Amino acid sequence: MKFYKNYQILALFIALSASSYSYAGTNPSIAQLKIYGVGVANNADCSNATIVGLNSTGTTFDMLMNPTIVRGSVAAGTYNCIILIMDATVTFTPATGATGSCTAGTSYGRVLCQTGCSYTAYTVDANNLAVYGGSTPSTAASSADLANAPKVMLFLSTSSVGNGMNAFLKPGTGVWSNGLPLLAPLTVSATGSTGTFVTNFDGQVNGNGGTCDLIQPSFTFR
Amino acid sequence: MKRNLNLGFFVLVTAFGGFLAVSGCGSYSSGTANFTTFYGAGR
Repeated sequence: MKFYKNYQILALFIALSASSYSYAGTNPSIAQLKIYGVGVANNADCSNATIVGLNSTGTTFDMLMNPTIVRGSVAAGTYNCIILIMDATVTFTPATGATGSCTAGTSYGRVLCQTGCSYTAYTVDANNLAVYGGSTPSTAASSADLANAPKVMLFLSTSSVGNGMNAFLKPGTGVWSNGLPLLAPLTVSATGSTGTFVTNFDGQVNGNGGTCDLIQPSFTFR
Repeated sequence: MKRNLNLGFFVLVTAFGGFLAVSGCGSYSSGTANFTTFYGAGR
């Protein structure tokens, strides 16, 4: 497929974890994320971010169906930081060919930020601006502890050099390893603009253990 | 199963003129508002 080939050539996939590159599992047929809104900031440290399409209850999207996540109005400009507000969980259904502990057609839920993972707390003020708190450890005890999975911001910044380990922490001076690299700023003009969050689940379904797991997907934006 | 990436498309402001009022983005006049659409894609 043309788009897929281009995507590979441009090396746009940034791993959320190093393991996501090497694992050769099977694919999901459904991969759902619950999303609460999108933030944009001119500054690469994501300060003064405007939240677009904020939805306090969130909306679950199957990322494999190429959904429209948010439509909203923002000022024209160049945005060096893009934020995805989401539950740190993914619900997936293994596709045909699933092996081991995974059953094709059965839905499973897994946590993306558990013990050892921290995220930047936040609120959104009356002007739809993000107000950041401190680094907060996840209280989810395991990848199956869905009840304690945090709601997080996934940060993508043109200044980030993050490798995925701190994707849910705000980048900034001295902590550019937070967030994930945004390869080019989002430019919004009078005629509008679009952006696409790409989540790569290929080969990430792992039934080798006692439970059916999903190796952490990689996130990119273009 | 490989899936096409959704590379998006341009959304004209005029195509969503009614969206301004619905979304409560009253701080922008129709002349300066700029629409941004975010998509999700997986594979």
